[in-house]
Amino acid sequence: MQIMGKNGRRVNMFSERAILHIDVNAFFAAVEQMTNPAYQGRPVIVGGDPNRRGVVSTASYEARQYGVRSGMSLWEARRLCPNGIFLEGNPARYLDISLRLLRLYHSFTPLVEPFSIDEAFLDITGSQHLFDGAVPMAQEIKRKIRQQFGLTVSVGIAPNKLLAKMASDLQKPDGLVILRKEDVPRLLWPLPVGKLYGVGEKMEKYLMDLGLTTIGALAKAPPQLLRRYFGVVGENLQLMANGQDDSPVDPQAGLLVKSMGHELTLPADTDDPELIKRTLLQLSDQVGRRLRREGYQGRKVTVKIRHSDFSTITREQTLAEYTDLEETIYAAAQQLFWQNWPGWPKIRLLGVSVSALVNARRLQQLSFFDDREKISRVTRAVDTIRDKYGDGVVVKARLLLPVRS
Amino acid sequence: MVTEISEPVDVVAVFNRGRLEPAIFLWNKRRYRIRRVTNTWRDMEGQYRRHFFSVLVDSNNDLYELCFRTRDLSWQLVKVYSDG
Repeated sequence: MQIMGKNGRRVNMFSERAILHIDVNAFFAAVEQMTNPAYQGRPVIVGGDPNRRGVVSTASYEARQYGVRSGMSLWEARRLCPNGIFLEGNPARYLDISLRLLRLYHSFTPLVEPFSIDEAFLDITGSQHLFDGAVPMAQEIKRKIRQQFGLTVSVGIAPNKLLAKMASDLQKPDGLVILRKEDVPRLLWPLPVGKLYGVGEKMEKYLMDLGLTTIGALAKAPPQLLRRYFGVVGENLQLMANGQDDSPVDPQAGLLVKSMGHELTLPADTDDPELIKRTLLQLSDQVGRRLRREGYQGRKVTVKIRHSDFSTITREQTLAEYTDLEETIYAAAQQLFWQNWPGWPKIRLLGVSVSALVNARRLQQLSFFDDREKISRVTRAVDTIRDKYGDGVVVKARLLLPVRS
Repeated sequence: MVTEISEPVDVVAVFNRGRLEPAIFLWNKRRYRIRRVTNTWRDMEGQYRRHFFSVLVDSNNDLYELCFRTRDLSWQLVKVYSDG
């Protein structure tokens, strides 16, 4: 229901919420096309040099016409689109534009939840009347993004986050879709069940095996069946298939950090112990630095090992104490790695992450029994130098030279 | 084709209402008049901010990436993108 406000503007009197989901179309590729007009209208693939290893991060819509998709190997992308423009990408550039987009969203509502580098939820329930409703507001946001950034976005408007996210997916690129609860049977139920937000590849397969091939089939499935096979998750999935979601737009959500990690695809598959050690040290150094910079310590160290045949394992270890020191992280990562790698197959990718995080400022406790306080002081002095002059000015000697054990 | 340059350049720039925009740069004894800034972004070099500008010039169709370093108020030509 809409009524006229004092100034003649229509005021939305719906008791339900108005949520926007904004998704920048082919973000990294679009930024590259905007930056370099020579790339406009041509297939741009961001991910790196196709002669080296790695995956497609983002493909422009022109590249998608050749079948190129995010996550595909660069080698495969080159095969499908030999004339594509392959770019390494520029993370600093994307991050800066992403932050500027968030500032723009904040000029429309204080309730902005960053969802990823190119997606955000906005709760405009309280501010939409300033623009005569949700649709004119969404149109104004789209206009400003195009004018200020040269980018197109797909916007979903709905009474909850789930439907807003599904709505923005329905029209790409440059979309604006309104999805009401009553539209769910007509617009969402015919879609394959894998299109439901939150249904990953494995869950999709389980649901298909049960004959629940569409979102509608999941919505109408006997609740006891879903409970028996999937427990609470099954009940939640059925609520979602019916378009129900009460989760709030939480501006703090992106700030709650659960783990910090880094991973690296090696230039070539390797079984060289020295290269493996150096890579683990480099990853531990990056993780430790990030923990300290953001004021966290963690107790759980996880190592990810991807073999040359793409089989992947993760192994974790809980430490006796919380830490943000790379030496401790590295020691745990080393132990985990060598316990779980018999020397073959060769290694393709390594990852190190630290979880079970707490705010480190609450944990200032001196240790009297070993060198940790001394190491900690040295580490912090190095951090200060890096903060002032940049990361490259202090590097561990072991990262420059092969380790001699 | 992308060519890494990373050389210091002299720049004539306009400061206007909190905005910084390069207008001309001198590189290899040649003067390049900027016809369009296609994109700008910023990052941090330690505690100092760097401002990046992708620019098109009057004399050719290459794209030049310039960087203004607040650390020492210097300009650098970072890369040149030639359409090959």
